[in-house]
Parts: sequence; C-alpha cells; structure tokens
Amino acid sequence: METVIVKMGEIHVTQGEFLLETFGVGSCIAVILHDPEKNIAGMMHAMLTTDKATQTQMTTNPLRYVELAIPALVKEMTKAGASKQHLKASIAGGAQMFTLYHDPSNAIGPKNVEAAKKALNDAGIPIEYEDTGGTKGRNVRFELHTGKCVIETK
Amino acid sequence: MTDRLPPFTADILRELMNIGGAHATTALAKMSHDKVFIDLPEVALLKLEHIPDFVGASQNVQSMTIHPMAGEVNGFILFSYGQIDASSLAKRIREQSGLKNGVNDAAAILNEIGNILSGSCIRAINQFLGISFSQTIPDGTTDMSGAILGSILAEIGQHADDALITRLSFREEKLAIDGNIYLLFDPDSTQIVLHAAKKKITAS
Repeated sequence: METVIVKMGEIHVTQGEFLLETFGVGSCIAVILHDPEKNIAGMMHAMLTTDKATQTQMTTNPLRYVELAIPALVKEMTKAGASKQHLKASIAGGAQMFTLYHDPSNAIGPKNVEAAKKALNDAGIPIEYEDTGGTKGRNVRFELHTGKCVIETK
Repeated sequence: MTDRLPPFTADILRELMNIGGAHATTALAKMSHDKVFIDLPEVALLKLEHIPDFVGASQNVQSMTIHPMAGEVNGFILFSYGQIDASSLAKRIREQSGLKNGVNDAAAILNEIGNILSGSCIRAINQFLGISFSQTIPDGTTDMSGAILGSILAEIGQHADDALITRLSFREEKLAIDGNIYLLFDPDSTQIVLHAAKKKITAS
C-alpha cells in the first residue's frame, strides 16, 4: 500500500488505498480529516498558532499555522470531492517536549491543541479521535482502508 | 530545500563552527581522556520547515541536550547522540572525569557535559567575534530527533521564518561514540554574527 508522507508545514489529500503518515510530531499538531463515504482523507502538520505571527508570516507560510492550515485542508478536501458534512477529524501531537518553557501561557503544544479544536469546532467538524499532550513525540499514521489513526511513540 | 547563503558567507560560518566546535570537542577529549575526531562543518540558512531535512533521520531516537543562548545574539546549541552512544558517553565521563558529586543519572551527566562543551564553544566564538552571548539553563530529552527539533523550531518560529543551522559531527575514538553539535540562530542573530565575522576578517 502506498504511503504519502506529510512534512511539517504541508497538507496532502488523497483517496483510495493509501496511508497518510507524518513523523516526529512534538509540540506540532497533526490533523487528519476523513470523509468515510467517499474514502477521501487529508492530513496536515502545523507548527504554531497565529497569536504571535505577523501578517507577512501568515501570508508567506500559511500552512505553518494551525488556524490557517485547517481551513486550507477543508478546502482541499472539498475540492477533491469530500462532503464537508461527512468530515470527521483525528488530532495528534501538542506535546511539551522540554521543561525549558515552564510558562503555561507560552507552551506551544497545548496552544496548538486548543487552536485545532477551536478551528474544527468553527468548521463544524467533529473530533473522532484524539491523542494529544504529554511529553513524547509521535509518529502519526492514518489508514484510509480502515479509517483508523495509529500513533507510535519511541 | 533552498540554502540562500553566498559561498563566502558560508565559508565564514564554517570557520566559526570550526573554532567553536574544536574548542568544544577538545573539552570533551580532556574529560574523556580520549581522542575526538571532527568532520568538516556544514552550514545552511533555511526556511524552518526545511531544517528537519538538513538534520535528517527524523524518526531516529536521539538523546539531545538543548542549551539556549542569550545576549547580543539568540539561538540554541544542541548536542545530539544516539541512545546507546549517549549512555556510553555518560558512563565514560562518570568514570573518567571529575564531575560534581551527586551527578549520577545519565541525563544529568549529559546536561553537565553539554554545559561544559557549550561553554567552551561559546567562549571561543565570543572571543573570535568580539560579541557577547552566553548559555542559559539547559534541558535534555531522548526522543525522535524530528519531534525534538520541531519543538525547538516552533520556539524560533514565533519570531522568525528562517534559521541558520550549522552542524559539526564528531567521534570519540575508543568507544566510537558519535555525536553532533548544532548551532541554530534566528535571522537577526545571523546578521549580527556575520557582521562581526566579516569585520574580524577584514581587520586581520
């Protein structure tokens, strides 16, 4: 079965017998959208929230930011033929890898999780699976043939 | 992956890494009572999203100590080792050197090694460039290198789009311990480093 690798700051949408996979998700967040009716899925791997970003940064690197990457992924999914009302989400990541940044208001991982949940809620997409937080990095795989999200830690 | 460093600028930065890295690995050689060999430094100015490709093997588990730098320039020094190499190094240093009493577990020893090595590296670079920055409290973790690196890049990404990354690989002879030293600077700090380096070279 073919695997599509999604790197940091990327989104990919695919249909059929594919695996979508992203590696080494630390404080970043991976979001997978799946339309089980059409068997279309898309994955994104975003790094940050927009709260400290400048307009230029958001324009030049939109897929770096959770709040911009999720609508972009929804758009790509519908362009590929998915129905927005059938979409279900899986989210993984948002770890706090270090203790260097103790200030909870500046902890990137939890902020990414919160932003992803809000953006999905705003888009009316239910979260079917979640594996977020903690202190370990994750490999995230989505199997289109089973509709399952598989997490690996090392 | 696009590296936007002109060749002359890259040469300056490689020389800088040679100076800092040589001092760090000399400190390691003294601590371990062994020879430490270094490779040629690599350097690139990259969009943050492309840095994991430069580092490579994002799924490999690495033990990394992270030493934030603050002062006239900001950035990070990272020391990374494979898991087995990290254990061997911690054991050897505990046996060979005069680390402080009470520093017993491998993670604390690696942090202490990182402190000594990054201190040597930074002092050499400060002296060479005539700019002032120092290391702050270190942290360390063992996990997939991509996850560790992604979390550091996210910190840099809060105020920058690109980063300068330099890598110096080294090998400790007897136990064949392989490691890497990375220096990461944001673009503003890169400009300060380059300006100081060019001034130094023009004056000499």
